[in-house]
Amino acid sequence: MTEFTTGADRTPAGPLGAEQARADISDLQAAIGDLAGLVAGSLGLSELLTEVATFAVHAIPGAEGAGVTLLRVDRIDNMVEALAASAPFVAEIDEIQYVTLQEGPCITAALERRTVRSGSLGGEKMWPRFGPRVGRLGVHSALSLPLLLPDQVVGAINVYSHDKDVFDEHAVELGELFAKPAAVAVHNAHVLAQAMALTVQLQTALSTRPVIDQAIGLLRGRSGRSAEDAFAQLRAISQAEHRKLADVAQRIVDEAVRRARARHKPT
Amino acid sequence: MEAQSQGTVLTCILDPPPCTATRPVRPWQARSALGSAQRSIHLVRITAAMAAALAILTEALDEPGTDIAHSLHWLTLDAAVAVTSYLGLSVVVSHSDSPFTVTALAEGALASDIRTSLHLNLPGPNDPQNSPAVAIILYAGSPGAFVDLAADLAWLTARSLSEFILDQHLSLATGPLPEGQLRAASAINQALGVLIGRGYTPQQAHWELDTQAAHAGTDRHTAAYHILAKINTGDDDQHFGIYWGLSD
Repeated sequence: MTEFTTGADRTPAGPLGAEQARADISDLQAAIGDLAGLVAGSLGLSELLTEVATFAVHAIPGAEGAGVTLLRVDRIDNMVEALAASAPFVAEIDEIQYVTLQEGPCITAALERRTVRSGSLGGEKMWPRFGPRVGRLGVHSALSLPLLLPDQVVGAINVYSHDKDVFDEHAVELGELFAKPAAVAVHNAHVLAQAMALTVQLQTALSTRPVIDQAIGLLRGRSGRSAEDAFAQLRAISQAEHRKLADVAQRIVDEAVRRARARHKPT
Repeated sequence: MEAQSQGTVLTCILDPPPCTATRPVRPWQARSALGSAQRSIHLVRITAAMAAALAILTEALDEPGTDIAHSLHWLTLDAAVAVTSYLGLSVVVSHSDSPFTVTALAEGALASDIRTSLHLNLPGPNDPQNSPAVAIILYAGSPGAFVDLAADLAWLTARSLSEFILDQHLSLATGPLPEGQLRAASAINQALGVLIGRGYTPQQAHWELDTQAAHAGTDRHTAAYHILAKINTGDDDQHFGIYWGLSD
């Protein structure tokens, strides 16, 4: 379901020539093929989203820049979890949409789970603050495609162009064809990123906790304080020295070990 | 956080975590009705003791805004979106001084509902030979539910599909609970710290702990508790006590 906003009463682009249509389909197939070639293992999630944004520009006729936004699913509210943009002007628009105004095509597309577009952002009634502001940047056309999984909106792809009335029905159709596999790819990459983040957090914590506990023991043995007080002291040192807790703990333990070894050296 | 009594164990329903500062996020929250556009998400059920144990680990990360319990929560929510019959997950930590297993099932899910599983063994940032191994097992109720996700994860990581093991874990992973394991490891390391502070080298501290355990006919962590208890009661043997210059 596509929402026609101010561009709806404008004359859509004329019928595509067969050659242009073939070229567009070819671009779309190449972009979807690129999605299948994404390798998250060598990219962070943010870089991966940037790649998807770049592929979207290739897939959607007239696109000059694109952004991919991941939404954090939540039972009370949602928030933007990660953003990526294929071009600096898209990042600027994202800032206006998500941070400054909290209004714009991505938010509408995600809220209402439908594609939205505008061919004249400067006069766009649907986003009375966002539209004119972005129009003043010289960006006049927008197409937002929700990233839909069977039961959930997981994000949106936002495509922009400087000219007016750039995104016609054909662009919407190709965009939606691209958004389907992109939603799955992006969300599965997100699951992977979450799993990897948890793994890294656990490994790091389990690797550093022993030396932190040894330092707590050293402080307790010296002062008779409780473990909580010793930990608070350790944290205070860490904050005062602007050093990581584990680094401070390691230094304290190393100093004590050095002293202990010095005591036991034969003279 | 809402807590309710469930037998002898407190069950905690984690509130949705706050926005974390360590993610590549913009501090925008759609406070509107976006939530109503989403299907209801399963709540993650973990015990209060487990949450406390994960808090011990989170402290060690020393990264403001990062919370391991929240990471667990978000992973299970995201997995629920990816797989419609998703039931929950287990995290199995091995090759560690304190191996443990954490299981977080979706609210209302039962172990007997499990019909399929996906085992992930992801590499961490550290030397795999000397780092704890972390495996994540996802559970779902519909056979075949993880086939597509496994295939995607394989190509996303450029690893063989055979490394993503399907349907080999159809009952909940069992293993030591984190709360006991982490507390015991913490006590042992604190006791080693006390002994090092008294002038023992690390190796001697380990021997001393073993010796005290043997003399008392107990295990290491009980011996460690005794060493720490003596500090708290002022009944501490300071015969190796040395001053080391750390300002209060």
